[in-house]
This record gives sequence, C-alpha cells and structure tokens, in this order.
Amino acid sequence: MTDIIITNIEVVPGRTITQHLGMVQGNTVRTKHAGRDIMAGFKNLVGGELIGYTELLTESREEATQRMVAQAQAIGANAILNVRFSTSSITSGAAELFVYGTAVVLE
Amino acid sequence: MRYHNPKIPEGINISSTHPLADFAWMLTGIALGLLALVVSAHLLAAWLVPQLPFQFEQKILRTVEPVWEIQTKLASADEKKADYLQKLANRLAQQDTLPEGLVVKVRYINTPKINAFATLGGNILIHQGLLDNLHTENGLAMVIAHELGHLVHRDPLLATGRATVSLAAIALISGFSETRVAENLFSLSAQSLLLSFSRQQERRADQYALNLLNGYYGHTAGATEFFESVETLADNTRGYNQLLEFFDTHPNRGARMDTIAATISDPTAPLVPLPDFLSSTRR
Amino acid sequence: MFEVITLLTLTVIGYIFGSLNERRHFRSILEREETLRGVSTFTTRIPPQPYSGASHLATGNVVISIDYFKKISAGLRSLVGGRVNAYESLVERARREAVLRMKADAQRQGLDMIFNVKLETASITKGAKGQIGAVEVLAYGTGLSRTP
Repeated sequence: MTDIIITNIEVVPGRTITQHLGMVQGNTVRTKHAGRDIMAGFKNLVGGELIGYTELLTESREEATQRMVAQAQAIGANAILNVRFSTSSITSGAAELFVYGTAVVLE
Repeated sequence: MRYHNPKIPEGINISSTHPLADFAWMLTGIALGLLALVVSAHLLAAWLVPQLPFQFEQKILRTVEPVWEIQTKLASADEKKADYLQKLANRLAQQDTLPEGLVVKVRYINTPKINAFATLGGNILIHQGLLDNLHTENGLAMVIAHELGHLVHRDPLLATGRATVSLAAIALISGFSETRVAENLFSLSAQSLLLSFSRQQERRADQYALNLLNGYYGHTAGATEFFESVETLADNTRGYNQLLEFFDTHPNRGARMDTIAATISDPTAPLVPLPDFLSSTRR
Repeated sequence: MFEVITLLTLTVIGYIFGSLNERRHFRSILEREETLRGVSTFTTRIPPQPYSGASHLATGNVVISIDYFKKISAGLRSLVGGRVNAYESLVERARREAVLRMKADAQRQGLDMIFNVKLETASITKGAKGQIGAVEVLAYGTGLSRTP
C-alpha cells in the first residue's frame, strides 16, 4: 500500500521515535446502491454473509486509511501509531468510516 | 517470554438449546399469555358492563350520532317504513319492562343487505334487504325482538368493551416488539374478536325474543321465518353475497333455527302479513 | 390468513437455509482456525522486547445477515425477554470470521502475531422496521513477526 508503517499500539517495536507530529485522520461516507440492497434483502431471508456489504465497507475503510496516510505523508511522517477505526451510520443507508492516529517520524 | 494461543474449547459463547425448541417454548408462552389476557378482558367486561348505566352508552355515541342522522336521512316513503318499524319495536318492548334509561331507536337503512343488528346506545339498524325477504309481521317481530334482547342484555357494550380491552393489550404487545411479526399475528385474532356476539349471547337474545313474541301474539308461530328465507337465499349466489355480512355477525344459524322451531307450540296459529309498503318491489 | 401462511413459509425457508448456512460457516471457521493457528492474537498493548522485525496493521471485516427464522425468533423473544439464542450464534460467527480475516491479512504481510486486537461490532439496521438486518464486525491489531 505505502511505505508508511501503521500500528495500533504506542510504539513501532524495535524502532525509536524522534518526532511526534500530532493527529492525522481519514474519513469517507459511503452508501450502497439499490442493486446491493435487493440482494441483501434476499440474504435476509436465508442468512449468511452479505459479500457486497463486506466489500463496500472494506473498500471504504481502505479509502479512509489512504486519506489518513496522505495526511501523514504531507507532514513528513513515516509511521502512524495508535490507530483507531470508528464506524457510524449517518442515515439508514449511509455509513461514515473514520480512522485516526498519531503521525510520528521514526529514526 | 513465550507468545502462543492454546485452543479454546467450543460452545462456551453459544447456548446449547436447540433453536426450534427455544422457538416452540416462546410461542407457547406468548400464546398462553395472550389467552390469559383475553380471558381476563372478557371477565372484566362481563363484570363491568352490567354496572354501567345506559346514559354512558348514549354519551359514547353522542359524537357519532349526528353523522348517523345524515346518513340515515330518509325519503318520505322510507320515513313511513321507519315509523312502522319503530312502532312495532315499541309495542314489542312494552311486553317487558326495559331497564332504566334504555331508549330503543330503530333506524331503517335503504340498502339491499340482508341484515339487522343492535348497536351501542339502544340503536337497532334494519336494512331493506331484510324486509324484502320477510312476508309476515311475526317474522319481522322475531328479528326486532331478538335485537331488543341484545340491547337489554347490554351485548353491544360487552362486545365493544371486550374488543377494546383486547385491542389495547395487542397494541401494547406489538408496540414492545421490534418486528412487524407480532402485529401480523395479532391483527388476525383482533379481527375475529371485534364486535361479534358469542353463541351464548345469541341464544339468550333468541330466548328473550320468544318471550316477547309469546306475550305480544299469544304464540310464537312464524318465528323461524327469517331463518327459513335465509336458508333458501344462501343457495343462490346473489343471495349469498347479500348475506355475507349476516353470516359474519351471526354464526351458527342452523342450530339456532332448530332450537327456536322446537319451542313453537302452536305452528298453525294465524300469522299477520306485512304491509305492502315495506317491500321495495311491491311499492 | 394469507399473511400467516407467508409468515410461516418464510420462517421455514429461513430456518432450513439459515441453519444450513450457519453449519457450513462454522465448519469453515473451524477449518481455517486450524490452518491459521500459526498466527496468534493478543489484546495486550506491550510488544515483545527486544524486537527488530516488521510491524504493520492487520485488519479483517465481515457483514453477516440474519435469516428470517432468527428475525422472528428474536421478535418473539423481545416479547418474553431473556437470552436471544438466535443472535448469539450470529455475532459469534461474525466475530470469529473477522478475526480469521485479520489473521489472514497478517499472514499475507508475513506477520504471525497480532497485538492490541480490537473488535468493533456495528448493527447495520439500527432496528428500523423492514430494513436489512445485519451485523458488521471489524477486527484489527498490530501485526508483528516471531522470527525477525
């Protein structure tokens, strides 16, 4: 993906942090299209994985992460620590995917 | 330090109850609960209703009455019929001392539906279709006296009370439930509950009517006329459609007819014919 | 009457296919848990010291739909109260699937330990009537390597 290291702990094990650059974040709001909803409606009858939804959320999270990484790169960081994901549904159809962390410079 | 994940045994986070067994238990529980609710509603209504004065019924109805007056506004020919029906009802009612406050109001409705029913506030509704299928005053008197019986026994209020309590309970349940399932299930039972008299109530009203008839004519001959004409009508489709509503509100007519027929002591007694102006065809 | 028949049919179809699906899914989960046994998960934040290998975030997510039987079952359950068995197995499946995908993601990156594992569960419906009923689980953590 990128050469930026992302972790959700306070350190990058075995590396020393030389600079803390503060919080970086990435987010995206996505909604599914009607076709996916129809399939999902059918799946609601028989159960099982909603592959369309899984893919949608994966893609969206990747996009949010890309945006966070872009922010970090813009300020000269080479790692993001203590990363967290958060998902909130804004209306019944749309979801916000939000990711944030601390940009640092590793030696 | 050693970092590893030993295998965790299965089934700790999932209950071992079979989903179907679980489902069956819940269904049984809910059905029993609902049954208890409906039974207690019926008992409560049966206890409460006789204690309420007739004025209360009339008060409930006061909001609806002006609408009725407009709907049942009559042509002059129809007014004559309404007047006749009201007078017949009054004469029948004189055979018994009506409970205090009960004022019987007969309303004639010019539709081909073959039905008559008693409702809140001492109202008896009679459709033209019923008049067209009767030829003797005795037969008509039986129908009116039967509805009088319902009024005297407070059956309309009882039915309304039951339906209200049951519907309230159902609304409460489906309000708590997150899915539409509960509503669907319960709307069905609600429909059958609403405003239908029980067999016992019908029998009681029949008995009351026979007493009135006996007092008024001195015999009960002709009391089964309405049932007989219903039986013949039910055999052809057009008649059947006109009767649909009657079937809905009056189940079990065969058994009732037999009971009534068995009490007629003097079947050859002379019957009073209905005046011609009551019929829609012989006008 | 028509409503009740539809309801019953849907429930039966939901039960048959739903439980088939669930059984198949659990079987696949157990299999993959065996093959991914090499990747260990921990919720602790402190990595092994000293460490000189790679580290990177590993994530996995899945959206799993309820079936009609579970929906009805939970609806009835909400009248009587108590443990909603039908949903327990659903969220269990979703969690384990998400963790498995996270492990697979770590393995793809050549990592075999995951620290500070976080699980996020979100309902997609928010309880709205007549809506899609599904649960999303996201699993993520910091992937490290045992063999630097």
